[in-house]
Amino acid sequence: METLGPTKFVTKSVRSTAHLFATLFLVLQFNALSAEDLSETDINEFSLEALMDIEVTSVSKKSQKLQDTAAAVFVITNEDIRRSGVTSIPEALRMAPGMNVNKIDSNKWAITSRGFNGRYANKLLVMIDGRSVYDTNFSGTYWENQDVLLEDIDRIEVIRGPGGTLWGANAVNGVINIITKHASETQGGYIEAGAGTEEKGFVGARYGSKLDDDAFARVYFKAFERDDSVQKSGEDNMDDWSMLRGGFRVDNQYDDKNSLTVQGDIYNGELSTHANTIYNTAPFERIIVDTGDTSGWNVLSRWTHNLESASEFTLQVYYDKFKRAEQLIHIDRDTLDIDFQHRFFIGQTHDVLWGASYRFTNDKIKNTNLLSYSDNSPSENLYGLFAQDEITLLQDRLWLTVGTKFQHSNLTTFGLQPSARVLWIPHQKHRLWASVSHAENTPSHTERYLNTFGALVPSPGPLPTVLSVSGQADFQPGKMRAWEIGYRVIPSSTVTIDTAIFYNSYSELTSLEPGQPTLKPTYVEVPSTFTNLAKANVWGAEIASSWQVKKDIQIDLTYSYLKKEFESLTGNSLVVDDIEPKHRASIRTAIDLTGKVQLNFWLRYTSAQKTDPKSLLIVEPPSNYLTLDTRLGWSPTKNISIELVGQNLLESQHHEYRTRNYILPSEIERSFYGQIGWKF
Amino acid sequence: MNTFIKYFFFYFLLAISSSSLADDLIAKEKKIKSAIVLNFIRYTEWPSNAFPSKTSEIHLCLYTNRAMEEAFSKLARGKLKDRNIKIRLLYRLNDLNECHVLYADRFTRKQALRAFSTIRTKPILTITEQATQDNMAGIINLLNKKGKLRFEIFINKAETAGLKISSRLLELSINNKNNDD
Repeated sequence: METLGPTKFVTKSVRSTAHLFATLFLVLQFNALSAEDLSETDINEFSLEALMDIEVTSVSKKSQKLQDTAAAVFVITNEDIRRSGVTSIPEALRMAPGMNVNKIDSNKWAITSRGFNGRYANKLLVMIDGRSVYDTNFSGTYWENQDVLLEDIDRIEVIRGPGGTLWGANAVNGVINIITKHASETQGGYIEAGAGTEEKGFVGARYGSKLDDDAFARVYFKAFERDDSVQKSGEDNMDDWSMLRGGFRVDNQYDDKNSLTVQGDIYNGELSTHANTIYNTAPFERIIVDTGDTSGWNVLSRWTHNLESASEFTLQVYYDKFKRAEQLIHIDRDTLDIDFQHRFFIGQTHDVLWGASYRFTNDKIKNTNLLSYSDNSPSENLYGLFAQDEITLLQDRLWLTVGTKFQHSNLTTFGLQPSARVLWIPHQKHRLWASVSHAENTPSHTERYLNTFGALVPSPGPLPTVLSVSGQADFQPGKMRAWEIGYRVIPSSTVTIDTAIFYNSYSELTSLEPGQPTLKPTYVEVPSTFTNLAKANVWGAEIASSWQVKKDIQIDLTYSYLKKEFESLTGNSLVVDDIEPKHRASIRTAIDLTGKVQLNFWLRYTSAQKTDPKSLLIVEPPSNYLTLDTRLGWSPTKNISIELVGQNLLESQHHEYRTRNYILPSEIERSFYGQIGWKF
Repeated sequence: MNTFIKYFFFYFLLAISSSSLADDLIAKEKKIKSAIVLNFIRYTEWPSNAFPSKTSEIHLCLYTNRAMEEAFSKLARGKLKDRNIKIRLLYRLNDLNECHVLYADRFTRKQALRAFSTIRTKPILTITEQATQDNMAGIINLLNKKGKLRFEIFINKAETAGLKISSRLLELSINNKNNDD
């Protein structure tokens, strides 16, 4: 069978969609004209009874809570997630401008914002309900482990750029805040189940109940099995995976001053990697299928107390257990985290927020025949203090926020991390903001203690050349200074446009510094060490626009541009994580065909990804690609929903990421799935 | 990339051609909502010490979006109970003491609890929308029931604030058992 190329497919789908829209347009125009025409005087003269008798239409709108923030913020709502048809948190993040999401294989993603992307991208802070989930071993995120019942997500806040002083360690290029619903909003039962070509089978369930007038609880569970990705030849890549998880949340409002949230999760998964491994004995390169286990649990408690005069404090404590066992890495970690925040006002012009935090992590790392660590049980005590003051310079018009963060750990010396932000609302339709900030990322255990054979490099002589990689015990944090300007405009009540431009200057960046080659009996070793001897400048622009075309059509557009210059101070440094496209664009369309039938299209474009010539660890970067996802949702009754989703429809397979030697190149396939949901 | 640009402009033209119609529908809802809120003011009595004089302005504070503020501004031009209405769109919630009425339709849970714990005993008529829990609701909570606007009144909250709500409003509220839909 002949497969349609992307161009043909798009042309065809544009034609058929145009027909659909033309019909819809006529129907809606008729509806709008037949609506009662009310002048203002009429309403003033109406009695309350008459006003209450007029039918009104509530139009879904973007949350506006964050539009008065002096930072580049984008909110992905529960509705956005549901209507996009995504089945995981990493895939949902593709909706945000400035986010670089690349699927590596079936169970791995490379995600960051504003540059330096990679499997071990280390400049993003990710939090689920206030619990930081970045991994201290590589300062990045195991995205495959981060999941909740998507139905229970209230919103995902995506903050590009340094998160300011408020957020915890590692908020350099961005902060992802995954926030689940309050237990009172998830009352009753919910069951979902489905299957498809890549989603081999999934099931999820939740039950929420009222404990007393002011206390609510829910429990959930979720399980799935996902298929392998494919190699370029179309063969299975042997990287299928499955995951089982469950959890609970209790929200108790004791009185109007005290509220307490207690929540927890437990999970277990099995995932495979089709890997290319490097050794210092022949054969130096071996292909393996590494099947590993990952598991963990966490429990979190958060107490909020309202004081007089609108001030409040929050105390949050959590414990997190994490285990990962595979041929590559074997790790067992305990984390205890305590956070305190206090907000108060001085007069009517100072809104002060300060806080203190303590985080203890202890890793137990077993050396494998691929990776060994010079310290197998690193413990870190990380102390943090921050304070910020939002000063009202002109009432309802102009605000200045200044603050600083201070961190100290037994392993790392951090500098002060100050920031200053200005928000100006010259007119109710326009908001302008600007900021300058300094941020530092947290060195990882890998950068400190790792010893491994990283790559086979092209060899000039008859013997193979192996690049060995070692950490440095006193590895220092990378530093970044960011300048940002943003402008938000509301041209009409149905359109919002949000833009941001930024310039980030990085110093003391992580790089690999190769040393003198040494001759071994059967190979040549090039020893390399993690150092802070690189600099980079990154600049770019991001646009997000939301358009409520009609009460039943919404369009969301995003576009991001990114440019990067990397500089090695020695002239020899190798980039560790470095892959990004210059252009990314996305159009999401949500159409209510009838009250019961919904149709969604999501078209995404990513330009060719270029790696730095110095990036020895990444081979063959992906070329540009265009993908289309569609979803057809039908709710035959109020409590039942049926969905058919097609993902990556324009090509039978495409690749998004080429990685270092360990993970073999793989491609993402076109896929379909169906799902039934029932609320009771 | 060419087809992508075509697709992009197709959406663009579609959006331009029809966004004004959606604007009308949304504007209608906002007009009705603001007219109902002004009626709430009409049927509420403040203690005499809440105002400096018998003719001083009623301060209507809005924690809402720009379009809703515009709808209020258009309607609240005349006098209500012999007083002019002064509208103030709030961007922050740290200055509520000068308000006589607070209309907030964009409260987060935290903001609602924080605001109410501060102004609970002050003579401020608080009006919220679609509050899912009683402690997040103002004295009056607006609801959309089957496409029509309804409201519930928390009479104990009004008493704590020192406000008197007229029996006419109470009769129309959904707290009144006769009005259950």
